[in-house]
Amino acid sequence: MPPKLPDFDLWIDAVTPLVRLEVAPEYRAGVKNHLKTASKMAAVLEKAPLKDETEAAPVYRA
Amino acid sequence: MNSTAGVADIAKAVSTAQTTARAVVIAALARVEANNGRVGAFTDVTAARAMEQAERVDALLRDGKKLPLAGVPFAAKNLFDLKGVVTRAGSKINRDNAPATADAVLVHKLEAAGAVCLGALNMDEYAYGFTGENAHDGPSRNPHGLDHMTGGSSGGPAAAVAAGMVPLSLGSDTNGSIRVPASLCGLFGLKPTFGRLSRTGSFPFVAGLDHVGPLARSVDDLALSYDALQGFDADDAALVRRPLEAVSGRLERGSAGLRIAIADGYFGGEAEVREMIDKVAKALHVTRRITIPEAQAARAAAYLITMSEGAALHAQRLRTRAQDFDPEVRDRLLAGSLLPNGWIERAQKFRRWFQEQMLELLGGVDAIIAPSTPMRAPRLGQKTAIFGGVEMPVRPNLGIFTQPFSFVGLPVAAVPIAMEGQHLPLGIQVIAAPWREDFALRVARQLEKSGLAKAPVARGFADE
Repeated sequence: MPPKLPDFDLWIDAVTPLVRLEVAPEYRAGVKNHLKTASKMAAVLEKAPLKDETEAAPVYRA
Repeated sequence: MNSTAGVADIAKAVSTAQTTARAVVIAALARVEANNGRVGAFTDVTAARAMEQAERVDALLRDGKKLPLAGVPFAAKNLFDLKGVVTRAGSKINRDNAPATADAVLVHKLEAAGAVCLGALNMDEYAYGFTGENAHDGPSRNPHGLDHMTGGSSGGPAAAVAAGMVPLSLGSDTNGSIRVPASLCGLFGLKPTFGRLSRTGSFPFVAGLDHVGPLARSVDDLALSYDALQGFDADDAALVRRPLEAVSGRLERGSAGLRIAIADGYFGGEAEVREMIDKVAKALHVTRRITIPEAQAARAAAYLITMSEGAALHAQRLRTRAQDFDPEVRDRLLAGSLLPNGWIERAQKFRRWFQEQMLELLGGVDAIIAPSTPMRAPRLGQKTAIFGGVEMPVRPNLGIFTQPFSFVGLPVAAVPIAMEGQHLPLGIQVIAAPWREDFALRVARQLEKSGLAKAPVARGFADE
């Protein structure tokens, strides 16, 4: 079963003041849609195999 | 020289005094004047600057100087600095900035090789989009179907080359922004290895993912310009000190001796995409298929990093001028400002894991073939399309096949594939190991020699 999606209104109302941003009423539907997409992306990533020892490559050289 | 003349044709004609840079540039400026209203490629035309440079090139040639790109007109996505021009990066907000005081390094390199910059080109705002649509400047229009998207974010660079205004343009590619418009406008493009070409003097998006590179109408043209663009630059923190690894004139072996595989699974695509890939496989005599592990997660990780880092870059502008953003970009950046750090940390760790997987795969093959886009050019304004049987938004999903490879900095040649009965183009990616742009370009050259890959000037724009 896919994980339950969060309450995006609650998310926006809680976090935007913390990062000193405002989401105007006319932007809210768009922002919620993008949070929904991001949540789905995070769920995909959550399933990817990663060991505790894996480190990021912050300066990336292919 | 007419609209179908390529980089190599022009450089040869100008270098051998069959024509002058001045005459070439006057003709190119006339094409821009005549056609830009139809395709929305240029946002700034720097005609006076172009004439000065053309005359400088002609004078240098008279003095016996050799210039590999003599008289070649080009233009740059409007996130590249052009001295005296405000670098808008597709935005309204950045138009309040002072004009650039110097050219971007890549613009300078092309002009040092004798090319002539005609101006700056349209793009998705702040490079955040795959459509080529822009709320402030209007969309760039696909020369192969003017009611269709060019793809983006290097939409203007693709439109300008596909419409024959210039044979060469500079674009940037963070998640697919050279490869997506190259596919939808039927062009060759090169997204080099991360750290190969200097980004100095270009407006950033996601520093760890941003690449820059050329678009053109033949592999030779791409190779000639790529050779002129190489070179170390200490001002770009990501640039790696490499010797000049020239490819021009070294691609005629084609794919002989190269081990090539087709990416399957995630990269399968719809029927018309599969049909294209089958034709490519046949032309290259390739039967080997490989599965790229966790490609969907790679795309997801690139998506999240882009959202979050893009939001951080624009945080102050989102606080003070949210209303001045393109709404399509603003809402995604606002959402990106609210993401949990744990997601981004995991995405960055996954990147390392995915890099290791790709390097292992590329130890066993020299090039991987995958489609560039999941569909031909959508109509302008089209918001959704069917991907894998599911209706999804167009704007982010045109890049589903490109994002996994830029995510780990691999060099990719974008190659347009001709299909009978189709007027809207579609293209593939040829992916190689780090620093092996030559392998990717050799496969592109093989497909070009076979007649399957071609990038004609769009009908209605080609001089007869």
